[in-house]
Amino acid sequence: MALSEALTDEEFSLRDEVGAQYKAALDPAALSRLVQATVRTANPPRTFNDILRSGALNDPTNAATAQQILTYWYSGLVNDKTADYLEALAWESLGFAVPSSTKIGFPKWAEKPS
Amino acid sequence: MTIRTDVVVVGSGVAGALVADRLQRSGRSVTILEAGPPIDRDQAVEVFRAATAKVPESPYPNTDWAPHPTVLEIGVPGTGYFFQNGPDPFGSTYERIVGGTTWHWLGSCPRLLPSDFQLHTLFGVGVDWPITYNDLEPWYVKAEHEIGVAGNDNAPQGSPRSAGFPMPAVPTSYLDKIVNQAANRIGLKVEATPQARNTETFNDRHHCVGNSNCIPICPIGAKYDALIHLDRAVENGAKLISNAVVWDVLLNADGTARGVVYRRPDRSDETVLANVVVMAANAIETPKILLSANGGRGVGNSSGLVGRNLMDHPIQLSYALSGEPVFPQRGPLSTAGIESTRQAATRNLHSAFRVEIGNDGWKFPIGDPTFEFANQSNGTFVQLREGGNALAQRWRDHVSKEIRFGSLMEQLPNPDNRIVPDFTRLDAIGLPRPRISFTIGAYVRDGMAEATALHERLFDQLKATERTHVGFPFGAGHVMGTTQMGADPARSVTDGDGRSHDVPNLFVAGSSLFPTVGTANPTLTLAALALRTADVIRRS
Repeated sequence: MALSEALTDEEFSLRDEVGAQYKAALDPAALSRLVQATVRTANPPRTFNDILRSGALNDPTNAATAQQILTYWYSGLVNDKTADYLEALAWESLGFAVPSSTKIGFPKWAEKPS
Repeated sequence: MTIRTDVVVVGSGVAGALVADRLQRSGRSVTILEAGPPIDRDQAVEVFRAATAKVPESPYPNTDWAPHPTVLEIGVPGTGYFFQNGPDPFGSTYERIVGGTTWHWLGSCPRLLPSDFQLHTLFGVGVDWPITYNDLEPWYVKAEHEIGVAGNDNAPQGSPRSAGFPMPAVPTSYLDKIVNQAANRIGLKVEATPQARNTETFNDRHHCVGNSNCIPICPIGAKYDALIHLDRAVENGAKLISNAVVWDVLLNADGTARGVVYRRPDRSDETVLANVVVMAANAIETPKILLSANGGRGVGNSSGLVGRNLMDHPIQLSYALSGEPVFPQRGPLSTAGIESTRQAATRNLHSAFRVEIGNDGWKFPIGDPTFEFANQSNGTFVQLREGGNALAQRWRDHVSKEIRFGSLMEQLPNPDNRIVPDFTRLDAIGLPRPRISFTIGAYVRDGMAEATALHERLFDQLKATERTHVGFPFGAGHVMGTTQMGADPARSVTDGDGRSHDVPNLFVAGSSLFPTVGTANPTLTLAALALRTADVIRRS
């Protein structure tokens, strides 16, 4: 969880049950390798730039694993199933819109978002 | 047990629901037969949220006994409910559930233009309707009040009005305003679309609160659906039977209709005897039943035209990123369009079209913003070694500029475009699946080229990048033709009232009646026709 949140600059938090689904879909060895290179180091990174600066993503396997974690979290999809639609980062990170099937209020769509 | 009723209505979508409601209130006993099951709205919303592809059909069951076509299967040979006989795939889908496709329709309610009723006279192509715009105009007014249309009284958009809308217009989106500025610079105008979407409490239903999910399901029922009239018909004594798949129309010795036979999921059959039969099962299922009936010899088909002249509004779809943020993904999926192109003087040469402006970004028709991270062909939006706020900002900037135009083409009637029951391909309860032969045709493709050019001009004005013009037409979900109305029994299936030329107590309701399809989304017109037909039945 700490790794996932560092990948988003700790701007978002991931629910445990959803995070567990993403974790289960990752290659365990690749995940362990990225965890060891990041949040298990003496100075754990707190932001994505920290991770970049540490050089952990120079390793192609680590870079691909980080990309996969973010893809799961942004899409809310894992192994062709929906793990979490309403809190998928594709929606949550937008700011100006909310997930389809939830309301923004009448007639907010007519206005420029603040 | 045989059921006896004054009127049996086959199909519970908007046409069937309006006819049933009107006739039940006039004192007739009405039985409505729906092939599919009833739907629980809250449960369907959860099914939508769990679906991996947010297609129009995603919240709804696809039952063994009432299967329906799906967007995901269209164009994939050998899959799905339709047998696509080609050469082009028929791209539109529908629901077979209580309430029909009003569950997933967009809600747009423009009227046809007066010229749409005289296409052959004015442009030398297609055919004329047996009725005029003026004949239908009072029924448009009634339909707008029945289903609750919000619109601008001062913007007739080429269709003269004798009365105002029952509700003020749905406010256009911020995106519409930006597109309108671009359109103005090339002499065009973006106008609010009349919509069956509440802008104030109407008939005890809540106003729209911007759930941004008209397709596939409005979570609160602010958009009209046929349940409103079905519920009222049932409250007034109508009988609604779900999971009842009609497959036969019974005839008396004198050629009049005696009733229908439906099949249950367990394959048992039931008979409904009626004085009047109304076929309102949409422009695929209605001809399928009529052609399957009477031992496969067909009913009401002396013209040989049942199932022929299948039409759609094939869509030219274009995407881009606007030069400035337009903030889509908020509110009704479309609130405005460009209407002047519907009245093009070149309808003798190619399709006229209506430009629908999407508020739904790039998600039409199977996606959602989440889809851009799990797109099997394009991969993920996330780049390697990208994350944190930089990724979030790039994503926010990207989505805020997403824009979509969909131009809906007028397709001409072509008797070779047809649906027939395929008795060699049966569904799970032993009934034939639809076999569809379909060609888009040069008239539409030339119209699509015109639309693409217009989209390009708009994109130029918007300083748009990443422009994509989809190279094939999407189905609009507007299934039309197949039991066309007309004055000549040799050249049409019903008269101008929707009454079969061959079977005087057999009526058809729905967009299958359309002789030509114009460029208006069809629901309001089919609703007006259904109310008019109900009145004919009531007076008969």
